[in-house]
Amino acid sequence: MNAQHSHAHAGHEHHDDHGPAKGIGRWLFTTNHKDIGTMYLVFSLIMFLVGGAMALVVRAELFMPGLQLVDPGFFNTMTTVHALIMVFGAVMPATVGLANWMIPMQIGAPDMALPRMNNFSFWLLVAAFTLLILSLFMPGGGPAAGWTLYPPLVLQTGDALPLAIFAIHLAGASSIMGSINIIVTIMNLRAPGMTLLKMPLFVWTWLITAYLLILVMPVFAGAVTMLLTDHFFGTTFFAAAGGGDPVLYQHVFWFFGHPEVYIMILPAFGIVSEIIPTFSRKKLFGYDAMVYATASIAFLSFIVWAHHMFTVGMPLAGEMFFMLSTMLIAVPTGVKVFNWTATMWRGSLSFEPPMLFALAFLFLFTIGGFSGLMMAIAPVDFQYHDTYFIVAHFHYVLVPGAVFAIMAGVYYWLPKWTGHMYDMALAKTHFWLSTIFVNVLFFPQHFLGLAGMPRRIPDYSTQFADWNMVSSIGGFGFGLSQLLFVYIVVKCARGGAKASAEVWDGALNHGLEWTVPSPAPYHTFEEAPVVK
Amino acid sequence: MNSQQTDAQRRRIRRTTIVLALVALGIYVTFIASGVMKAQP
Repeated sequence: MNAQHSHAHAGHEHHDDHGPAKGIGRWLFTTNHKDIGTMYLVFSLIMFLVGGAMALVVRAELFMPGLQLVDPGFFNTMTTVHALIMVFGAVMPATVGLANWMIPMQIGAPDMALPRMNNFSFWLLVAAFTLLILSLFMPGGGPAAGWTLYPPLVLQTGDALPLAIFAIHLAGASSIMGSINIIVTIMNLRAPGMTLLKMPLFVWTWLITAYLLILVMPVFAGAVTMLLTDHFFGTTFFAAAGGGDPVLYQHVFWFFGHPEVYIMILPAFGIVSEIIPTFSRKKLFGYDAMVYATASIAFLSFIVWAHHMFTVGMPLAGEMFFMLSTMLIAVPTGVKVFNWTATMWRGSLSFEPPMLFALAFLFLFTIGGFSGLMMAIAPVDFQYHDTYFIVAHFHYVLVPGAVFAIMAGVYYWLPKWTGHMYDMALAKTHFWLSTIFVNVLFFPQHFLGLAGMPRRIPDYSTQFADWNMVSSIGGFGFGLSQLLFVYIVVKCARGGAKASAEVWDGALNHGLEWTVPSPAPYHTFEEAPVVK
Repeated sequence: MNSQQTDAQRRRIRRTTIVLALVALGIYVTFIASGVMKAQP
C-alpha cells in the first residue's frame, strides 16, 4: 500500500485547528481519538495490575495445601472479580485503546466518526469498574459465583449482586457504543483508494470484532437482566420451581461467552498480522485468506457455545454437533498460523521486542489452541470439565495469547505515540521474564487438571502440592515482571532517543501510520491521503 | 461528528449508527422475550 505522502502531511501542517486543551479538562472532555486511545490503554493497564493483584491472592492461597491467608468466600470473590476485571476491564479496553489510536491512522481518517460518543464510551467504562470494585465492600462480600455468574449460586450473592449487574450493563453499553463507532468509522471514513481488501489486518479484525460485540453484548445484558428480575422481582427464568430452567442461563451465557473469547483474540490476531510482516520485511502471506479466516472464525463462534457445557446432559446429537463444529474452528485458525509462518519463510527477520512477543504468541497461543481441541472431544471433556486443565487452556489463550499480542502492539506503536524509542534491552528482558514465568505459571496447571484437581477451590489434596507451588512461583514472577513493563512505558513516555517517522526499518510499506511524524501529531489526515 | 465530514457522510454515519443501535436493542429484547416464553409454567 502506498500513500501520497504530501497529502498525508499536508493535513497537519496547514490545519487551523487547535492542539490539546490544558489541564484535567483535556482528559475529561476530549474527543480526540489519540487522547481517548491513551486513556483506554492507561485504564486497561491499571485494571491489569488490579486484576493481577487479585490473581496473586489466589496463587498465594494455593501455594500450599490447607487454608492459609483468606477465607474461602473471599477466595471465590477473588477468582470471580479477577476474571471480570481481566476480561472486561483489561483485555477488551486495551484492544479498544489500540483501535482508537490506530484505526483512524491506518485508514487515513482524521478521527473516529462519532468523537463525543467515543468520550462517553470511555467514561462509562470507568464508572462500570468503579462500581464493580466497590461491590467488594458491600454487605455479604463481592460477587463470588465465578465470572459466568451461574444461577442458582449467583442468587446467593449479597448486596453486591445488583451493583455488579449494573456495572456489567454499563460496561456492555460502553462496548456497544465503542463498536458502533468503530464500524461507522471504518465503513465511512476510509481514505480514497482504500478499498476493504486494502485495509490493514488490524482494521479488518477490529471490524469483525465490532460486529461480534454488537451481536453478543445484548445477549449477556439480557441474561443478567433476567438474573436481576429473578432475584428482586419474583420472576423464575432460571428457577425450576417456577417453571424456569437454570440450564437456559448457561445456554444464553455461552451464546455470548464463546464469541466473547474471539472478541478478545481477533484483535490480537490483527496486531500479530501487522508485526510479523514488518519484522520479516515481507508482505503478509495470504492476505485475503487471513480476512476470510477471521470472518469464518467469527461465524463459527456462534455455533459452538454448548461445548462449554457438555456435562449438563445434552442429547447425543447435540454433543456431536457441538464437538464437530468446535473442531472446525481449527481450520481457519490453522490457516492463520500457517500464513504467519509462511510470512516469515525466507524473510529478512529481526527480533526486536514486538517481534519477540509476536513469536511467543504464535507458539504459546497454539498450545492453548491444541488443548482446546482436546477439550472439544465430548467424551474426553467429561474428564477435563471444571478441572485445572480448563484453567491452563484458557489462560494460555488469553495471557501469552491476547495479552502478549497487546504488549507486542504497545511495543510496536509506542515510538509512534510518544516520539521516543524505548529501552530495547529492558524490553527484551521483560519479554524473556514474561515468557519464562508465564509457562512456569500455567504449564503445570495442565498436569494438575489431568490429575483431577478441580478449579475454583481454595484448598486441595496434598498430591497436588508440588505443581501448585511451582505455578504460584511462576505467578509471582510473572506479576513482578510486569512492573518492568510499566517502567519501560513510563520512561519512554517521558523521554528517550528520538524516533523517526518510519520507526522500524521498512515499516513504511506496512501502513499509513508510518507516513506521519513521530510522535503522531494531535490531528492527522485532516486532508485524506490517497491510497494507490 | 467531525467538521471534515461531508453532509452525505454525516447522513450515512447517522443512519448506520441508528441501525446498529436498534439491532443491539432488538437482540436484548428478543433474548429476554425468549426467556419469558421458556419460563411459562
